Amino acid sequence: MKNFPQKTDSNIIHNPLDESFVQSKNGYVTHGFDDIRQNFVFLSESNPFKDVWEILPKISNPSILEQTKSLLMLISNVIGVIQEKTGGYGRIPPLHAYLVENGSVLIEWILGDFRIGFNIESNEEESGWHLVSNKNMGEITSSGQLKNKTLIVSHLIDLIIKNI
Amino acid sequence: MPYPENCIRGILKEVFIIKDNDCVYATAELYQFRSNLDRQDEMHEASINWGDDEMAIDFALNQKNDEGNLKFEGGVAILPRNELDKIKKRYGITQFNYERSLLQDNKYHGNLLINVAISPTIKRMISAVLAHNSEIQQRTA
Repeated sequence: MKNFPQKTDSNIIHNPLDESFVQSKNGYVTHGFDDIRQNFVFLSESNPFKDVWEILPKISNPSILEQTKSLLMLISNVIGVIQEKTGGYGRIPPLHAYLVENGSVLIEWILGDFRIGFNIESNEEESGWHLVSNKNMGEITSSGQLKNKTLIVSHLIDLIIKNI
Repeated sequence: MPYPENCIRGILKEVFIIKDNDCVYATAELYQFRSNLDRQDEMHEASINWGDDEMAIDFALNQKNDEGNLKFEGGVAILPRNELDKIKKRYGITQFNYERSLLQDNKYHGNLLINVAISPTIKRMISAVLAHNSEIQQRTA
């Protein structure tokens, strides 16, 4: 198979957002549910975060909860930056979220030609992201850790925006 | 017995599929791998049926649970074996594999197998590959 070529954080083929611009918007440190809820209300009429918002109260592991909130805040901020930059982001597809049997969280964006996922584990070192596409988009399978999550989330959302 | 072109994953609940206009997609959660204490190796399992003949899909759709109700309320996902082979080739058979595992009441039964030691991120990515290449056949009303 010519595919499965991209296994690192750095091999996604599209233009990243300017990371410093993302960080300068309003930060992405989470303090609690209210902060996140405010961001979600700001985001969209057909809230793409509805699924994820609903599972937050069901997450019992503090580390997983904190990581999930932090990731959601980052995602919402990145989308907010794009909205400011472009005057609108069109239709952001819904994020799907699941509590997995071992207590970890799986968050997915599912589109026709590709899907993007985040797995949040109790051990933060094991949390990660993945990108999977079909033949129309080169059968990419790529994954990595969430150590540099601002950059990777910016890349991934940029990919979504350009391909919906 | 050689393996057929497709395997079939039953969809226990409709929450494992996403509907977007006319399209239906499997979620990665559909392909959860679980431990089986009877196994002597280091693999976790995801139960499948092999598409050995034209009856295999109907057989899966009509499987019953312990309460006598239809087991797969969400229908079935049909997954080409060549996608399994791609994953096998990439990670090696000690990390990902498949098998037949005939049951007394299910001659089609088998398992997808993943090594317990594989990282959670790779495991989720493999589940996503399986889901993304699945064709969903929903139960007709």
